[in-house]
Amino acid sequence: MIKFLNGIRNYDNIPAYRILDGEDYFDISFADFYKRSQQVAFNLQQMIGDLKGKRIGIYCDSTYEYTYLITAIVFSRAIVVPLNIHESVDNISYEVQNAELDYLIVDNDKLSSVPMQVGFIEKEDILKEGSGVVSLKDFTDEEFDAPAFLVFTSGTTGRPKGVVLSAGNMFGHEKTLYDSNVPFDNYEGLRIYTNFPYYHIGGFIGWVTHFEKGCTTYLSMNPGNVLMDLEHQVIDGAAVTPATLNLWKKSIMRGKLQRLGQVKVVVTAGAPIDVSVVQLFMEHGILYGQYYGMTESCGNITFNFDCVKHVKSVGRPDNNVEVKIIDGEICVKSPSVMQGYYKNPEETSKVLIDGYLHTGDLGEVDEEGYVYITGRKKNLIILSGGENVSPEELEKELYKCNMVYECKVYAENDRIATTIYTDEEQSDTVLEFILDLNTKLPIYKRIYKKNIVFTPLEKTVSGKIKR
Amino acid sequence: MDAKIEKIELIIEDVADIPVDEIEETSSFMDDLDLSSLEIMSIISKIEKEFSIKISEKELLSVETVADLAQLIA
Repeated sequence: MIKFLNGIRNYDNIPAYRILDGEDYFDISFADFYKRSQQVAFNLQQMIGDLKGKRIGIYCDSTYEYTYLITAIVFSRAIVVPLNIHESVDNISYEVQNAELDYLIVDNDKLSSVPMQVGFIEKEDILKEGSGVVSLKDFTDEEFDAPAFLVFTSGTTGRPKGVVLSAGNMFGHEKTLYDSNVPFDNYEGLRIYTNFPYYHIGGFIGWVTHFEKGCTTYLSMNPGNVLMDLEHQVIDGAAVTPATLNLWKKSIMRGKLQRLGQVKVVVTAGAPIDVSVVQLFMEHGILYGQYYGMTESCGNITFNFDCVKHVKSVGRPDNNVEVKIIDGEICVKSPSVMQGYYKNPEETSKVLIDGYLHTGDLGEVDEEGYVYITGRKKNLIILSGGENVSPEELEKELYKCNMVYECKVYAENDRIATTIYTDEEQSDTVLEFILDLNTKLPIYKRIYKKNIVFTPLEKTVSGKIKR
Repeated sequence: MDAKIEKIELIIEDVADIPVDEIEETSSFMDDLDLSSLEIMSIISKIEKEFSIKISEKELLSVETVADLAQLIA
């Protein structure tokens, strides 16, 4: 039996959230959170009837209210489909269709000119208070395998793939927050700042973990305020993107440690981090930890809080997780591994083989059981902002310019780079094309480094452009 | 105009740890300064606070250089 809601009810008056906005802030207790989620469930039911089995997308900014929506949808036995607000409209429209959404909750008009066969619901309408509540129930053992989440992730071949996660995958096993290397005796009310968005697996897992343990999640109202909001606060932990740690590193180097809210332990996930960053944090008395996982594993595969002896490792397998290296690839067996890619048995069969999830990461395990990532098997760019980008998707865009004869897209120093083969007299046209393309691409997919060459790119024996 | 540019340059230095004398009016945020998207967001946030303005997502699309950003500040 899942006891997620039960836990929330017990935490009662402990703050679930502290919402920061410069010098101002406000708190939301677990009791308030629970009540608000029940109101949202009521409003949704009034609008669309029985929610059971319905597919409901969320295309909204990542705020605390996002988690009311998730709770209301999932615990009404509908399937929640979070959509990345920064994703291109073209991909969003593909995802809406691919997920066969019944309804889409929005807080903006970015999709207003796109023809879509889906019922739009305004976020503000379902957040209305005072109309009534629906009592929400935890999942029973029989409901463990019921699909509850459909989360899109960048594939290597352009279009995103929908990862189906069941109630049991997400809520079935207690999550790991820290281990004995982190000296907190009590997690209830522990103050943890985070900026993983709630449309991202990192955001979900953080939310579930903090809510299971009764921690208080600190959120910035404006994500750009990451250097301002903590100056007036004291926090215990931070679970932030690697890009945030790079930014904080610069603040520490400039002697502005107060911007980190006296944080005692920082944890990150989603991309490898520079060891020099970790060392700088440690020199300033801040512990460092890392989670390693992916959407398909529904969170943690390994975690590492021992950065004295194993700084370059992603850590040891989490509880219930078995890690096995098969032909050099990190493979995983755990009750949290996804059910499969939605309506895509072909892609599913490539990654779920004989009960193991093949991560696409190459790695090794040392004699103490610590896992090290040594490379990527699949062609996917992983950036410090926590977003994954398919090179093929961007290459397809570049080939829309007729002057681009050949191109390849890759990562260089945590930025997206391209090498393009064209004629010398066309190079300005190509550069202008990229400049214009960049204004249309989501911010995390923009091409920084442009390397123009006037000879064909190197090929593999099979004639493909060499990566 | 110069005072605005100077302020922007100081904010960039403060957020991204790039010395002011390496930042020009014509410096591009992506190509010359190599700022990450989170750095750009943090810079915009600080500018909004400093100048008490609000910069929309649409306006941001047209911003490529330090001078472009200064133009958005009335």
